[in-house]
Amino acid sequence: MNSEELKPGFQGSTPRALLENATISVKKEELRKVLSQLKDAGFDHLSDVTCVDYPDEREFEILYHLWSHAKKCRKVVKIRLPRESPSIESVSNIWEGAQIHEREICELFGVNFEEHPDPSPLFLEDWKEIPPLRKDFDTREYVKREYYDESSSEQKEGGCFLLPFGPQHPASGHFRALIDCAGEEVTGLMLYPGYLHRGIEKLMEYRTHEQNAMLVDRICVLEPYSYELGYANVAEKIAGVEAPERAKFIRTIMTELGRILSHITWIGMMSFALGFESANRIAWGDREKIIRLIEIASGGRIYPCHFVPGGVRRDFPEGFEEKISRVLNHLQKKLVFYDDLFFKNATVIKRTEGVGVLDAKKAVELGTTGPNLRASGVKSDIRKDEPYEAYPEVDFEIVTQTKGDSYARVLCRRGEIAESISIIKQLLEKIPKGETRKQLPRKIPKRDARFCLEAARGEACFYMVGNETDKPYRVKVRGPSFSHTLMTFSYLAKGAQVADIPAIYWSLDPCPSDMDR
Amino acid sequence: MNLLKSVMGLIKPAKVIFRILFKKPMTLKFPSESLEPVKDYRGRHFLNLEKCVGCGMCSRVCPNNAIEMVKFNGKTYPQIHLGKCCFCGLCVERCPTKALTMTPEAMLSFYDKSLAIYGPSKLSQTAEK
Ligand code: SF4
Ligand code: SF4
Repeated sequence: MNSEELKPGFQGSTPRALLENATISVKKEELRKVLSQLKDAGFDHLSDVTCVDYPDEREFEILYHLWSHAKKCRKVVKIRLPRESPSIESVSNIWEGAQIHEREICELFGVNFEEHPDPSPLFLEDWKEIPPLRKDFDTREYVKREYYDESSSEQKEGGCFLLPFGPQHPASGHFRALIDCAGEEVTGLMLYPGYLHRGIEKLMEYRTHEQNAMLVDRICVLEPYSYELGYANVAEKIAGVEAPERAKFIRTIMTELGRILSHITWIGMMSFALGFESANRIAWGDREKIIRLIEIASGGRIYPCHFVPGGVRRDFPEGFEEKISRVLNHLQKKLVFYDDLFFKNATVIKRTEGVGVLDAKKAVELGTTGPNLRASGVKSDIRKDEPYEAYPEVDFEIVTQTKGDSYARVLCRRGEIAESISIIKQLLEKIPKGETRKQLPRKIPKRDARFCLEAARGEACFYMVGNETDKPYRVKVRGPSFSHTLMTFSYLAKGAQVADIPAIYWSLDPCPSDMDR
Repeated sequence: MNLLKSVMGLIKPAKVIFRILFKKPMTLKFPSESLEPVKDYRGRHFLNLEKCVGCGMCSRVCPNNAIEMVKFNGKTYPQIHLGKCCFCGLCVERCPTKALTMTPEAMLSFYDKSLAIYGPSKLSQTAEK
């Protein structure tokens, strides 16, 4: 079980490129055995499950992307299934968090997972067509037939008397859950994601490299830079091109600004969830300062469209570095203010301390990543574990907490804002001169590549398969909120008090748009 | 000790918020005031009719199919549906003669969808102030 099939995009000198070679192909019968052996061997985090459709070979390929928090390395387990009757054993008894990925594949590819605890549809309602992410499903033809030719839309209503949570925006983001409660205690939860499902993975199959770079912004509204960075990197990796040094610095600086942007927005959302609206307004006022920087650097406010495979589209304008420093100094001062206002606010502490406690083992089991995992005491950060872009050049601490409750998650994010400010300051001092963009070959070679990065919310990954055309054959996006909202939140909510639901939900900082994609 | 901490934890937020009352507001009175977009903002397009050679590169690269090539004054020019456009600027990047550029004009809401379709003549006008 060590056939090395996956060719890395380029032979980098980091352990990242070497370790990613580790690909295993297994047979259907031995899947569970191999995966549980790997889990015992330390690969405790199931990062993602991906499916790729190969109609010409009449097969599906399922990929299990694993990560070891202890060894800091990745492993990919591949398995091929016949396309006619695709059926495979569920691995949700090995990783509980696997069930949500499997459920998505079951719905979007029509692969049957045996012994899956809940294979019901996640996004689609009354779907009568072939599963939409299969290659023979034509989106354009379907849209034309369904929405332009005839008008046939039925409304379906459920008939439960339950407490609805969402989908109006400030309460939950565009996400809805029905809370089943006995008195004040939550006894069950039904999740209804999909309000923001735009089928980005399918849309990307219709677009070229550079067109896709404009689309990936839309994966997450609050921090588009991380997804731009991920896409640019995976496309570079598959093409075997490395971006110029200066472009890497610019991208890292902007991504870190994006992280601060996202965390500050989160302060606003978290205080809103706790009914503390003044802090919400103040945080959104500071957010504007960073947005203005993004506007100056890229020409766009919310969707910068700044990074492309091969570099960046715009170099920093004249005097931009000083502008960043000024905003950072302001934020550094403002953090003390936020301490008084929010982080050490007695009401905030009362509402969050001891609420929604997640222990480290369970967090890993559920596929939790990012600040939410670090708040439970797991020291895991892809920026440190597999340094990418300009991160090897900087020195920073991984912010961790131990308690794993909502307040620990709050403090974790506060620490990260401070770390990000220091990262950007270091990078601004070291930024080299030179070119900022390389051209990529138009065609995407026939191989696959995967790139993971630490977004503000956790682990974001892109998996891309090329096919010697100018459009990707398949792109899989892992948004951290997919696991956070659908697995971690529903685990923490069960047994909690109804009044604590907003505090738990927003302490996880979910973003429905990267959940649904 | 704990009680003191809790009391301070309540007084301090009230104090900082009280102080904000005497600061300049963070918001603007839209629409009478509004934030000026930066110089290089990717807003509404501008087409230089003399420079455009009608090659159609812009329409081919557009990810949203927002550009249609139309006849105007006996030549082919791009026509942009701003309602479909995501202001990515790929068309501008691709234009071989730099005929197509972007202006900082960002106030682009219309009462009618058809007003969002900018033909060559509208595209070649500079922003009215
Ligand atoms: S800016 Fe982008 S979306 Fe708009 S017309 Fe140009 S290429 Fe199309
Ligand atoms: S605007 Fe530029 S790209 Fe478009 S048709 Fe004219 S010359 Fe060609």
